[in-house]
Amino acid sequence: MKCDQCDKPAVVHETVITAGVQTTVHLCAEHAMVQMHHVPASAPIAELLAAHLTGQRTQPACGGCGMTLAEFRKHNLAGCSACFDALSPVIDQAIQRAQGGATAHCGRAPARRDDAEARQAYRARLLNDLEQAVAAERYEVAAQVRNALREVDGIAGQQA
Amino acid sequence: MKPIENGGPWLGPLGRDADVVVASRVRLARNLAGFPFTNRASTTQRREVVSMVRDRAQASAWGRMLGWVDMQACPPEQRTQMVERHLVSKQFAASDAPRAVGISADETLSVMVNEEDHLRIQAMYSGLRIDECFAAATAFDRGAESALDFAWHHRWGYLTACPTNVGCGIRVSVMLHLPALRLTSELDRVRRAAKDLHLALRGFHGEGSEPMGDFYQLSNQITLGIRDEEVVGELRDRIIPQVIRYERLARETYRSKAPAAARDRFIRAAALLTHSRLMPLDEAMKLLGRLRLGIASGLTEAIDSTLVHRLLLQVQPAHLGLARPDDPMETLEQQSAARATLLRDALAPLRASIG
Repeated sequence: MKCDQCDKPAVVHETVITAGVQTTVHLCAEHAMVQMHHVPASAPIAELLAAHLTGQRTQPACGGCGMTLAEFRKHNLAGCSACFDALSPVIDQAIQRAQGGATAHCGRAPARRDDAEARQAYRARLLNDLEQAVAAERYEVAAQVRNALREVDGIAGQQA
Repeated sequence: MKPIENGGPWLGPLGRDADVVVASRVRLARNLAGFPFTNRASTTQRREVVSMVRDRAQASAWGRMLGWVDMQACPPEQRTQMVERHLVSKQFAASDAPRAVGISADETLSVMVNEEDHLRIQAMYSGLRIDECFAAATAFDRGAESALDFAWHHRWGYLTACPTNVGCGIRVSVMLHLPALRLTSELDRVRRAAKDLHLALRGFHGEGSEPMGDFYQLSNQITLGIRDEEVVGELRDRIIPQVIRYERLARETYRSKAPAAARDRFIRAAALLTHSRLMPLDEAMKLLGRLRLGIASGLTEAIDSTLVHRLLLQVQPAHLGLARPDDPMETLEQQSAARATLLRDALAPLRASIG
């Protein structure tokens, strides 16, 4: 649609009702400025999102080593052990993608490991994952989580 | 670095399936809890990691067999020799940060400290001996974990810098000689099948390297949700035997369809290797590969594959320099000339046999 006052494309469309009579004005950016209309920015949502994401990206996401999400995405390398919780869920997705969809370790653990508390927290998280997977009818995932649960219980059994 | 006659983990006895398999390797990736991974560690932290691992290894039965090389103090040609012998990775040799490698006297075990992960424990044997590699790497790992606290996560298992190694941190690689599969254009099919099975088929020196002389490394890609012994068993019992069968079948087909061509290929390679005055590296690798195929097909008894394996190493630039310390070899042509002389001398029995 063209501007009411020239041939440029209209960017401001305003419906005005004066004494019960409805009129619509279409104005290009320049004529809108002249008539004191507010001109929308070129792409306000995209800019807002970009600003938001940039801010988020440059903030250190890991308290352990100061790794940001942008750095992790760029190099695909974790910076320290704490990254594996701090960068979740981004790092979870990266691992699952690299590992053909596998969702948890199974098998050997260092013999010196005996932090029952962390194991309990992990077990609770797995139970939650299982519930969600079943609710979403994602049975393949559910089977994997169930295997992981068995692993956790197996390790606990061996150490008891 | 010792002369090659005493070292090189893949120059040992050929063992079974030696017509196709050159060597086996198992690598475990581990990190120390309480330190940032190598990519985020400061110079001081990297030094601490090196001395912690080295000191504890030297003080214990599980690590006493390693002799340590400080990479920063190591001259460039020696670093390259270690790469050529597959004892350290290219990236590890090229870096300038504090790092060290522990190597056992027979060079079957090597432990890189401050590669992409704090520890890269690697065991390598000639022939198809994945179990022995696994046992050696695991023995070191279990010893080390009694003295070092490894980074571990209840969901992800052993933590590594790269998501591709998280879990059990194991990479099993088998170095294969696959000339017939390439000749019969079947290699792409093998590559596709490998990809579907989450395996990687790479060149002579592993990641990012070109295939030379039809030598390839086949290795697992998945380390999560699978036990390390399952990774080993899968490759040992299912995958590698199948690739060996395909390669043998392709060799059989090629020989029966074109027996004269197969023999001619071998004789030409032998003639070039035993008469040339200049021999560039890629040509040497290619011809040695053809020689190896000829030996496996029974076309000569004058030499055996062990000699070919040794030459594959000796023709590499840094090893060439090691063998001729008084020859500066400043240009590629001088290097080619030295390589040609080495090959003519070593293959004299072959020259006599082809007439």
